[in-house]
Amino acid sequence: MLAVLVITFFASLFLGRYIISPKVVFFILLDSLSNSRSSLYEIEASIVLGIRLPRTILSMLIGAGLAVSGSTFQGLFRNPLVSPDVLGVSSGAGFGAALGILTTGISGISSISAFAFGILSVFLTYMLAKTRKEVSVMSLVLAGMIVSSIFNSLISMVKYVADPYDKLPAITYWLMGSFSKATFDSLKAVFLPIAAGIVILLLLRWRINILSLGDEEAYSLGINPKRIRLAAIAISTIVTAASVTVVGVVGWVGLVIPHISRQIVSVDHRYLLPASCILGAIFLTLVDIIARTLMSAEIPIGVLTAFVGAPFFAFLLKIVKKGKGEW
Amino acid sequence: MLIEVRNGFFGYPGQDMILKDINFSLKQGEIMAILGQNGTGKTTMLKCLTGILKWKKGQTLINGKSLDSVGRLNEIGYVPQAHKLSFPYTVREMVAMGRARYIGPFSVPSKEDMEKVDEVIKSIGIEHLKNIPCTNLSGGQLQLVYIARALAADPKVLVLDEPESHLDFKNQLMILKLIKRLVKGKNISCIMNTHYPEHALRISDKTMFLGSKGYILGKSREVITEENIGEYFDIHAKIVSIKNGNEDLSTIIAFC
Repeated sequence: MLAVLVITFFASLFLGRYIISPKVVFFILLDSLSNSRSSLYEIEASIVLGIRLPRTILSMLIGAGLAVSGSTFQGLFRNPLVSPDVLGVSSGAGFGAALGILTTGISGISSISAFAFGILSVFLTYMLAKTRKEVSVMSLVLAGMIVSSIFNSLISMVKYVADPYDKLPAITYWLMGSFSKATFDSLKAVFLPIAAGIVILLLLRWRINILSLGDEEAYSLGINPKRIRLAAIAISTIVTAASVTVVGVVGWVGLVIPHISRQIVSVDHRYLLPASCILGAIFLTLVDIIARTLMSAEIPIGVLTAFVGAPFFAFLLKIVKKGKGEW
Repeated sequence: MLIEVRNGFFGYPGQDMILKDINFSLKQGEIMAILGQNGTGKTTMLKCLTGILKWKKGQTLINGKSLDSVGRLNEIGYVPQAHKLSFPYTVREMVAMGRARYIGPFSVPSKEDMEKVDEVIKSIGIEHLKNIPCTNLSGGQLQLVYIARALAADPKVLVLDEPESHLDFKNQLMILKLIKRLVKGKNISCIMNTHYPEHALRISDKTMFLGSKGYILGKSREVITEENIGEYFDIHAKIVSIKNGNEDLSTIIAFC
């Protein structure tokens, strides 16, 4: 799987509207590593290093982050239909970004606002689900639906009042997601929270097995599930919110990749989490390659992940029905 | 004295106390059965004494030490009723989860943990199922897996919630024999819920009858009588004994 990841990484550097031969890409990479800049391939170098390299790293990072968060959530909530945005983080962040675009139009501010509202929405969900000091999985999912629908209606409201020639398209494009604005600066801004989140979730991977049995059984095995669940939810939320902040809403990765990983690797989260991490990185990078090569104008990534992900999911469903039976 | 419950009271929020002033103690190598109709709080009692639920009043003690903070169950192995699983973990993965209390949140089972797991799997006699997903097992097999999981933690007290329900005749006997063998062999204590007075009669040293108004407790041979069964199960019952070689076998015939 790692080999596929490496191949995808380089493919993502060669391919695009402007195809650069592998030889040149390697030359440029080696050149930049040794810090000696030759003027031989100046345009190519600026494309590879300035645009494609940060974009590729970012798509891998976010693909991995969303997929790991998805696997974690499905384990925690003992439900394979859950995805990282089930607690409302995407809608919250979407509203934050829309509001930022509407009021200021400065991308830095709308990013911060997206992140803040993403976290806020999950916090609201959590508080709403908290009745009698207990937080049950069912009440969390229901509260997530409520908070999501509130923020979705707020997004519609913002869109309705937004200037249809200038701000409305900006909001709409943002909500569909895109890597086109990926730079080393945006990479730097989210690298730490996402990478750290992935590492912590990977370390917790065996504990998630225990939590996936349910609270009562966790207690009976001598584990208090509450704190670990809260920590895992918080980390997944930060990872998802950070991703949404730089590339907008990218659906399906967090839902589909865990399933595929479960099919080809194992249901044991010890192996499932690393596998979905790598697969998520491969999937999102491949989809991004398609997004920027298929048509002369770039296709929003959120549209494509659903377009590619959903049929693939359907295909898997059919295969599974015939084969192994239950998931 | 190994496990002891003192003045245990419990009621679900907003409801009357379902368990009132529960007191008992159990020595090493002893088995206690809890009998009672549905809804009298048998499962609730097990959950309270293992710490899954908190006693409203009173406490569970192990070797004189109180077990009052939630989650500290290191000496008790709990075997839940066989139930549906969300993910098809293999038998070996499932049993390995019994080691959880010895494994930190950021680590995975070590080689020693897995050796222990394989040892338990062997001692229960389910080696041939090791790599099969738990969702493909029969009820009896799944019950064995849960027992193995509890044993993987080296418990001093084994607590089982209706281990033999939903099983066929042969598997019921197999589970009962296994419990007896484990308790005597490892010299641990055991508390189990059951719907069958004759199972209590067969393997338990002590028996508790739990009813909606209170409970009685005593040596199984003395307390499992036609009158008590009649009173606590609200039926008429006859105990019939037959000799099979030099073994005394009893069965209970119930009628309305």
